[in-house]
Amino acid sequence: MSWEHTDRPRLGLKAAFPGRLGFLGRMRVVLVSMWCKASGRYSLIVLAIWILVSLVSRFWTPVPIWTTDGYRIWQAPSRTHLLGTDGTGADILSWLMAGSATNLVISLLAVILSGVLGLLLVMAMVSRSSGVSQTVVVLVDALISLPTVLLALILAVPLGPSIAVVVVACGFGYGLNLARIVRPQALLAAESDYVQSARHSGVGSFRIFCTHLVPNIIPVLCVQLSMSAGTSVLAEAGLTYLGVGVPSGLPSWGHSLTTSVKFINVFPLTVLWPGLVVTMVVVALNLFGDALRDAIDPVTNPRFRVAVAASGRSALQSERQTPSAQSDDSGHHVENAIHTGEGGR
Amino acid sequence: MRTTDGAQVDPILVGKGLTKVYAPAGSGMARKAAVDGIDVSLLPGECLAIIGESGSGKTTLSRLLLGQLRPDGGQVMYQGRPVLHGSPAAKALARDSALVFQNPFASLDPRWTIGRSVAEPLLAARRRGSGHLWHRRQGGTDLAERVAEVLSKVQLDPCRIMTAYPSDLSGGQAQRAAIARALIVKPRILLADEPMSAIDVSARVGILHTLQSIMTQSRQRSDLSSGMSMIIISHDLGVVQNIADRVMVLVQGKVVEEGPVKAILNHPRQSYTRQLLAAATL
Amino acid sequence: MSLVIDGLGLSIGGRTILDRVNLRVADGQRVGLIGSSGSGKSMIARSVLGTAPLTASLSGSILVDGLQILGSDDRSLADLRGSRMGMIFQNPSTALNPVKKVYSQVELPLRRHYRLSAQERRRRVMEILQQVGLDADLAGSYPHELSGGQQQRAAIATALVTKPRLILADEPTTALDAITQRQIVDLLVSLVDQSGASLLFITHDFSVLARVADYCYILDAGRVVESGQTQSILRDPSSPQGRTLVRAARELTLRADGGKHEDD
Repeated sequence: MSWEHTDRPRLGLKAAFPGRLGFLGRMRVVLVSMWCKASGRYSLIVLAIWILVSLVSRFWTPVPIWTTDGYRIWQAPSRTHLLGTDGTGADILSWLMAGSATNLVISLLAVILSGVLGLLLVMAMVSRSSGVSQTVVVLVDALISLPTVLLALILAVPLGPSIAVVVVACGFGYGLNLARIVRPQALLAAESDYVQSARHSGVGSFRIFCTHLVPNIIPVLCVQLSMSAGTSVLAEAGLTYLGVGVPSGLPSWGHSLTTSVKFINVFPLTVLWPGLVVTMVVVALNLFGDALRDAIDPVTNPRFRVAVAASGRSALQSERQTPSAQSDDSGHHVENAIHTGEGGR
Repeated sequence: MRTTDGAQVDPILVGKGLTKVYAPAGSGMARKAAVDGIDVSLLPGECLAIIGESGSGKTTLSRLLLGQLRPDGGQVMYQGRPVLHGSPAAKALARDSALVFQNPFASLDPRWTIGRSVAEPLLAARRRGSGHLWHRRQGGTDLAERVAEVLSKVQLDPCRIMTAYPSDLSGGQAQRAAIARALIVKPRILLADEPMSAIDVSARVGILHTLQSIMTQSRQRSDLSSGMSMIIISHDLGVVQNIADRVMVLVQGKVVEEGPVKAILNHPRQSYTRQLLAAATL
Repeated sequence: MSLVIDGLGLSIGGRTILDRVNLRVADGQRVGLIGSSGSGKSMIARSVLGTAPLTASLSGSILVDGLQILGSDDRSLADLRGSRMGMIFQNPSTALNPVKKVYSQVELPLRRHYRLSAQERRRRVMEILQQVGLDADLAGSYPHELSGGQQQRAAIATALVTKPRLILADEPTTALDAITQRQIVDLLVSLVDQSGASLLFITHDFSVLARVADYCYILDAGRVVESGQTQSILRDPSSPQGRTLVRAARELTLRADGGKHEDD
């Protein structure tokens, strides 16, 4: 195999696809951009604490959660019980910490489920076969009228109260919602000239969906998914209160609320603490979505564009400094180039 | 044709009796033909201008010619073979043709860098044609270099433009980038659909010169039978006077006048063409 | 009605959009303002109308018939906008309200600014529709049922129905076909001349401007770089921006002798 050698300076693939800032590079720019805004900073801090506490609570809580003391129920905050105790004499802080892990899992799974379902539905909705797309549109419109709570109640019949009920009910409901909200954006992109041009070049429908449509609906996706995460925290509390959510043995914020809400007139503090945690986290998630949308979108985030341009420049310079070093294996160069070009998507 | 030397050249693309009917929204109304029995032929290396006001069917005609729309009547032939849906000729036509749209900002993905957008058709071609893959790789130019090459061909600075996003560019620059994307697969037929309507007058001249130089280069580089042909769609005769070899004037889906550009400019036969000429004078 | 702009500066977030712009439109004069996109042309029109972005900080003075626009309150500006100033926008399909029939859109300024009987309003609307060359039966149609040229005629009717004394036209022909462009420009000029109003015509195309304005200003990056009689600028532009614009116009048009071109 002989390759034609050229003396021209070779431009690396990074220069052509500086969108390939690398995953870490991207993350850094996004995080820095979010950190620079007050709302983004708040949401990042709260979410970081949430994740940290969830991890810590697997190994350590101030008081073991199953330690109860019948003589010390409904206690006000003290040095041993920082947030007081509930009706069984258990430490509220420890239960909230342990509950954060459950809620984190529920939110994550609900977001993943609704994201996957929503994207699959959107893919069908923008399908070029009008039969498929119209059927799915009607189907989504019909299913969306099914209340999340009703779905959860139905699911609880075979499953009993469990995390799965909350996750499936939320994931299903929010997935349908997501599809409906994202559809106009996706259609706009699907009918755009750049998609027409890509299609004319012979790019396949699935690839067009992944490379053109998804990046262009990411702003909406960020906001919607993080709102879904927030709403799933609220839904967990509601469903647990109804008795179809998290089973009673498992700590969760909804559980903490449920056990003490009947005594809100007498011991308001025991309800205040879980309520406060839920509110702070839901607000943080909603703000997180907005901040992420602004940070991740090259159209709205000039910092992102600058970083991309800089990475392109440095790629060009490093290529130019070693003009002949790679001329021997230019064939590999091409192959690598094409591979990274595809793999990075 | 400038360089026929009297020799007979077979047209690369022929449309015979092309008709496309759109069903109107209200079913009671009569069906109106957007394109009504048009014969058209495109020689290799030729630049054909299709002129008409909006709604005259010029865009529909161009999409029929590229096989993107299926005609309700008539037939398109590419290199002498009929273009039917899914036929080899249709695939060859899709591979050998490229599009430039009216609004550059709508035709470049706002969330892709220019470099990635420009490289897209080439990557697609490399993925698709395994037969061609080998041949093209042996050409020795890698992807980024090809992108840089076409970008400088349309008078853009590759180092700066490759890493830019469409919103960083002016209308003229973005349209050049769109032209570069069309050129990267070395098309035999370039379809430019109102490439100058959505941008500034001063940038229009630049685009016009770019298109002209591309045509000249393709004529110099290759013999006539393999040069690039161009179909340019416009509503303005003045814009195409210096670039087109042949002009076709459409009114309501029908050809009212057709001929070499000089003949049309000097001796318009139809009153509509005279109106067009009047509208294009300073 | 005269328009006198003196030392108009406009900046948004520290970025200068307009820099000490001086511009004069005498009573009954047609003046052109030409510049490439991003030069700040539209911002001048918006400043005159008092609809500059809220974040913009303005300096200098804009006098309409001796009345200072900058710093006036919204109410008096609104009265001035509809009744004595008319505005025509670039894209008629977005300038017209898609859910209202043409008739009621043209009627709206009359309703807002004058106390007239229904018959009188109807008479005036029909009169202006006829003047802009729209059939009376189109009055009952929605904007999307009209062609681009007809939409722009309807927009012109809306701007002119109150017989304004100063008309601002911001690229009214850019979105239209070549032939329609010419028709709209000629229509606008004849209507303005009939009514004796002043016209500030904003465009990026000298071939359009040459038919409209006797006097013109060339704007570049927020500054007026050249001004003078349109014909003399066309013949001999002195600024580089002017030369670019004139050369572009010459290259993209045929000559007036019927397009007899020698081969290059």
